Amino acid sequence: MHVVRKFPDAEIVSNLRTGDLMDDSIRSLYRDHFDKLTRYILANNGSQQDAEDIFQETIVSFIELVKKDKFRGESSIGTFLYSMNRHAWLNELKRKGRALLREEKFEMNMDRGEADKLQQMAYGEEKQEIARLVASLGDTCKKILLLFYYEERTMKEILDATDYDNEQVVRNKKYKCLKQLEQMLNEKPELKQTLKNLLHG
Amino acid sequence: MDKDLRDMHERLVDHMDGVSVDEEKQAVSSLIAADPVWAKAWEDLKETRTAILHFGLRQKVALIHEEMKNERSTVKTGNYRRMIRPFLSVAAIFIFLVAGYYFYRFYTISPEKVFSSNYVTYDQGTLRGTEDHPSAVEQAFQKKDHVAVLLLMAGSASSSPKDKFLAGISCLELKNYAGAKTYFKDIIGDKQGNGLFKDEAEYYLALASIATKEYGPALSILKKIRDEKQHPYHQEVTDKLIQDVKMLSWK
Repeated sequence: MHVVRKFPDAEIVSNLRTGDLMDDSIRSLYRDHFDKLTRYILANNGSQQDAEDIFQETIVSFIELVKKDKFRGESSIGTFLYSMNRHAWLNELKRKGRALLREEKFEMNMDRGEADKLQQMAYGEEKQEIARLVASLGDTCKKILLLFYYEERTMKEILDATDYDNEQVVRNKKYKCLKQLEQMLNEKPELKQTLKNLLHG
Repeated sequence: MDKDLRDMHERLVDHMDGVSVDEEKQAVSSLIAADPVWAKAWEDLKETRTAILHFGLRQKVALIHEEMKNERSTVKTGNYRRMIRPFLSVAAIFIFLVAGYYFYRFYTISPEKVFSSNYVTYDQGTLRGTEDHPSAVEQAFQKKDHVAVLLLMAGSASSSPKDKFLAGISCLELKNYAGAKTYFKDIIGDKQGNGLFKDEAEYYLALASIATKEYGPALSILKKIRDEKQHPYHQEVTDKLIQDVKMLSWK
């Protein structure tokens, strides 16, 4: 039987930072905040699909902030996610050219510290483009790079998960894939600022 | 130059992956700090890794998103089921009781029961157009001498609709349903009788037909009476009576 785990805010932040119980912590964020954030989007001219997309963007950005130690718990996760969600939706509305006056007031009244953190939410389109670029790599390249950098697997583990003969072949393949992706990104200078923002915050 | 660049790139990748030995780590760090070409290449490499990490995280969140959508729809269905369960229970009990009632009715119903619960002995006082000098048949009927009524009718060449009707009722009293039907049909088909006792004959013919298990003709007469609001027996023909006859026809 699947056990539903609920975590207090501090534990979620700690888990996201270290990567321990990452999946359960993300599930906990969904269970605790999805309804409220979705209601906001639906009440402000958004569709269910908009709400789901924005929520995913919000969660990704929140985890990236936590990993960079930019969320220090001055407010609750719920309050913070709500602000991020609103900000992301405001950006989306602006992109769609139907920003609401009420929303603009919200942006003007926002304090500087909050605005800085929410800057993480900016470049939504560019982030999606970066993801699309990585996704366009071949399956093998994606697999090796994700296993090594995202999953932090050893070369031995990656060898077991692929059809290569030895670790050196895997290492060479990983190098080529990384170089290929680097070239693809360098060919898109418009993504540079977003990458710098993701890297340095 | 290409080889130098390749060497630089490989050393930077090893540096980023944390596979360099301490001495190499320090050497590469110094080169990054001192040489803008190395610094730029180092920055590009870190950005590339950031793109991979970002993609990985998006993928993970997207997977959990799908999983949570399924979980939420299951929870919603579960909640809905929990909410309607009491109503379903009440509905099930209600259906069970109604079905039980009809089941009981179906198995206990009989033509005799339907006949006796709807047959009322004809009250002679309600006879229309009672004359000052009642006929011999009428006098016998008043004395409830039903055998005499039938004997008198048998000896009579022609008789009035009233006498025929009383004879029909006497037949019913004596459980001679076939004889009753003959008298009532005679009245209904009598063009000379100006429709006297036709309505009464219809109702009692329907009852006599039930008693003889001729449910089809009985039903068509009962439905006709039910449809005619002015019919004197309209109130007697209830939905329950029609339902009972239908049930009898299914047995």
